[in-house]
Amino acid sequence: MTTIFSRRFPTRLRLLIFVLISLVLLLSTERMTPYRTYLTSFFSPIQFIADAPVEILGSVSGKVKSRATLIAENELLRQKELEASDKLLTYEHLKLENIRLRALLGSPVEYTQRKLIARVQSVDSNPFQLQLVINKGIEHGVFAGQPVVDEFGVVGQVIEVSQFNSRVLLIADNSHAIPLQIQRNDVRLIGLGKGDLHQLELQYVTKSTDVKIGDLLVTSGLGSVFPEGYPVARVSGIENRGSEVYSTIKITPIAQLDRVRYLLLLWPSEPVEAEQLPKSE
Amino acid sequence: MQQYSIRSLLVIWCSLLCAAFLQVMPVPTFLDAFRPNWVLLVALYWAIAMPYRFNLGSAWLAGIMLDLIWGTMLGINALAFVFAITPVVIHFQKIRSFSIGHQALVMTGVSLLYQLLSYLFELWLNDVIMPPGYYFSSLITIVAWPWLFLVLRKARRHWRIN
Repeated sequence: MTTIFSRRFPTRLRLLIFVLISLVLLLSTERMTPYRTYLTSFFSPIQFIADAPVEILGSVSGKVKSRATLIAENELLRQKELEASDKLLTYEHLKLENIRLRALLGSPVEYTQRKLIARVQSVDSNPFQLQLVINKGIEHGVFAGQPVVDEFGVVGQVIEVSQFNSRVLLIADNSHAIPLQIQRNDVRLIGLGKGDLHQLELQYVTKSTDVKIGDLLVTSGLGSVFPEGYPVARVSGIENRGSEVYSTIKITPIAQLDRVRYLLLLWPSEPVEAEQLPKSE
Repeated sequence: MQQYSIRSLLVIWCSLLCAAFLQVMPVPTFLDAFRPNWVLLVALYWAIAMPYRFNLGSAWLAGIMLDLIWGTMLGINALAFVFAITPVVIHFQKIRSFSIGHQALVMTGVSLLYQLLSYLFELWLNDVIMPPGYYFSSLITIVAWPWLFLVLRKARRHWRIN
């Protein structure tokens, strides 16, 4: 018979046992990381199923678009393409020139080369963290610590990979910090996430530092996670309190963190050596 | 007998997987704060319906599952689950005899306890900030519980598991 009233292990003892196991797990988080990949892969079908309705709706709405909409869209895209290619004409030239100048200075610059487009599968529903799940995983060569950008600026970095999808930590998350520099004057700073999608903070900026509202902050390339020069945020508010050493500076991320849909994964490439440079005429 | 217990384990874990699916299902942003803690509620139902099948160990596993799906540190939700379900497991006979409305109130309390605990653990380990409207997802339990209870009871009787 079922033993409803059995007390082989009293509830309090069980509670103690499971609390101890949990604490051990929490303290050994670092060592658990490789095993975690397998466990996460086991549950990743749930993400795929949860994402399916959105994907189906997307493909249906793509199929039933009217001709007029398509023509208008095409027009718009063509115009954008023209603008972009105009910029690209000078870009190639500038890039080569930059490599040569860098070579003269004796400091090779890292260019990211391989790129991959990923789609956002789900936005995290856990209230404490700002993370996304994207539909690319180990299969596609994604690795933990990989920088992720969208068409406007830096979005975050990959923190956990499983076989077919992976998890991206947004720059606005509470546990994320990103090394930055002001584009105008190369002052180096650290942008700290505050758990708010629309606002980050600059840490340890003395009152005498040259920061102005509207300054563009780009990645500084220090810390070797994010490649140099990607736009991240704009300074949106500076507050100086009399009694404090540092000023409180609010910055607004340029990437639209609350409405990302397609993302770009970046792979770092080997440093370009001076000898491999294309010869100039 | 053996067959029965395997079948009930299957039903229990399928219902928990469905709950996990509801937990990560994409919804409009304004509804996100009002999402009940589905996995916890389903675990609570099985804890009062069949405490000899679903006890602290299973609740702990359900918490681990949630940790993996959410990508939180392994153990935070498991710990909060175990603490929140303990009083329910101890008083399951009392809670079982309550009316559905009364049960909904009790479960709202348990859900609040779970959220408070997981906030404290997160605060301790990751120094998080409590987002606005954090406890709404517990308060919605009062509406969600009766439906969940009826559906799960229907399932339990339909497959005649015990």
